[in-house]
Amino acid sequence: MPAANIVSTLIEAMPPGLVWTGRRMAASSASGWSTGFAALDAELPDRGWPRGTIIELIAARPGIGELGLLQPMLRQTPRKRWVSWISPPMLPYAPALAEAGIPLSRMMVVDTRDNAASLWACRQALGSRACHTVLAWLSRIDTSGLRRLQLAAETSGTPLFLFRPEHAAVQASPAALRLQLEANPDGLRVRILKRRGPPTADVVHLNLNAHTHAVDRADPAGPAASGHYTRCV
Amino acid sequence: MTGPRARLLSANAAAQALGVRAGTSVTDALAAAPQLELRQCDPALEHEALNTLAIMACRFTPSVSLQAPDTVLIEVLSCLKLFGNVRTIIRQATEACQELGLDVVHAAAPTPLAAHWLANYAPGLVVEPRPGWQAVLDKLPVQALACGAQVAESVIDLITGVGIDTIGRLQALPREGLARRQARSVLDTLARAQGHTPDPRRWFTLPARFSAHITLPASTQDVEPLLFACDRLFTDLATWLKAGHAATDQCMLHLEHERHPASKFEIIAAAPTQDKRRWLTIARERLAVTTLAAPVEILRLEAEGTLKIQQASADLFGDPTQDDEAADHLLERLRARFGAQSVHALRTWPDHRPEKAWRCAEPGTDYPTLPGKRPLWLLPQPRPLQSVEAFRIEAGPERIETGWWDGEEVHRDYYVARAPDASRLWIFRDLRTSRDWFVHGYFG
Repeated sequence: MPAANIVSTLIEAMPPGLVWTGRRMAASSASGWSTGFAALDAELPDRGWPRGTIIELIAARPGIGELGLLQPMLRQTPRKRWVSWISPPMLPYAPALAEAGIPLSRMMVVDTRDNAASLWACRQALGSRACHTVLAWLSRIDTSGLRRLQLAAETSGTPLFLFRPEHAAVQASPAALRLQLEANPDGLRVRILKRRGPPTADVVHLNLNAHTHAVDRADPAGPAASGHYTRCV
Repeated sequence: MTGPRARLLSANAAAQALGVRAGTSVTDALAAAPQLELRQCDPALEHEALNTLAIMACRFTPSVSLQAPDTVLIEVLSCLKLFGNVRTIIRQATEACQELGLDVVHAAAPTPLAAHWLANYAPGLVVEPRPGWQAVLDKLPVQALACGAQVAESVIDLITGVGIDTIGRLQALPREGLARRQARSVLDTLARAQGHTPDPRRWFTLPARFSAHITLPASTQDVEPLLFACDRLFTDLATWLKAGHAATDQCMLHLEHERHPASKFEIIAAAPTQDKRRWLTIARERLAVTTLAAPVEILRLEAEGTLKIQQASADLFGDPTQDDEAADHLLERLRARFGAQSVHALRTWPDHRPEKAWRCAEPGTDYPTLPGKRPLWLLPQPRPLQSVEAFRIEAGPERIETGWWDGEEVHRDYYVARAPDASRLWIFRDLRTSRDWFVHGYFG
């Protein structure tokens, strides 16, 4: 029997709580919001998205499935709260959001003039405590700017999802959770760069299709015979 | 004042010990005390100090009136209930003035003109509006008539010339005689001071944005003297905020140099505040880590976009409207800065053309929705694709052929495609013209 197994058997035999193991994640006082993906929840210290912190979602470019990851969370937007979209890189498309069951009237899209204005809008959205969550796309941000946003998020208890380019992965950040996202044929590959708890090298595979719609396969070369046909005359 | 008739406006204790008094002509004063140090008075600075004083006074009452060059009149009768009595207001105002570094005298009386005279000739006096209060004016010297009234110097010389030295004795004179000797203004002024005729004033309005500056006596690059000046500016800002019952989380500090562009510091607090110590702490940190390009000549502080302080109401069962208010407040604030067009919600629109199947909507208003199996991201403009060789088609085609009635007709075959990096795209082929491929959205 290998030594590691003996140790774990011994620990299991002891009364619970007597020995602390490094793998275990600290129990957080505030429980998080479930991400809607059991595999991801299991890897997060709060069993979901942590509240009151920056959550960095790092991806090579927008459109690889990052919104799919947030869909379950956005679906739970309460009345009287906003979801602020601060300078999104493309148009959040209303029919698709409606299809996903996200309340369109609570989505507040803010088109800002420049990066400084976006930062200001982020701080206002966080400070107001009127937001379910804040989604922000900033062209650049330095460490002190990040720290200021983290402080605002902590004070208000509002999570701030910061969508960042790939090179941001090497920059130090006060964010409590940093995820690197990559598209995968059946959904999304999530690498946890930082979490409150022991580091992990595991990669979580998420199937976004379970939450979006199923697509039917068709002959790409053929005419519109096998597909939908919309014609208005 | 310059010229041979220049007079001293005030003299400090050391000068008074040498026999120099306010009102002495400069030549007389220099003859009595050749070592005297003279300072020119600066009307611009005086006006600024008066403005600061008026802003401070706005925290007590909205009815504040400037009386150049040195007096601020405030109407407190309407807000006595809030403060209890006049003494409380006087105490708080005196403390606020000390904080601003202003040395003030005060008096209170039932009419503005009487209060003005008493502040000059009997400082500290508080006259209650009882019947017959006008008697306190009788002891004042005739010179008081010149304060804040239209009585000319020559008229006062005329009155003192016939041996009348107090207002009481002036009133004993026959009114017809006074009126005949170009002293009509004296009678009008007395009537206003005693409250027999109304005395309307022009009220001071609080500036909408804050801007203040300090010119340093000697330019410096050291942090401590700069912080000392900052402290004064932040005190003024706090005074302005308190007057408007507002708070701010952001102000801009400009340090102006000679022959260099100004250094700008954005002072951002974590939450809106009126507390100058918060800004001072931030300014200290910012200045400590910055190397200034040149010595600083002028410090300028600017602020705008303040927040009204919300008075929390103590409700036993909590306030159900609080969430709504916070939500509206954020919307207002963002729209105030970016414009109503730039802050919007979304709605679907009954149109088959993807670019027209959505609209901006008023946040918080529900509309009927038309869900569709569509990408979460739509590109504002379809982007041409060089080739689709690398893409794997997963679904499609979906033909969209509509819009002939408004000239923006589309004939497209839409496909769901998988890019080499495994992301899913929404692409279409334009059937109308060149059969080119375009990306129109991402299934983010």
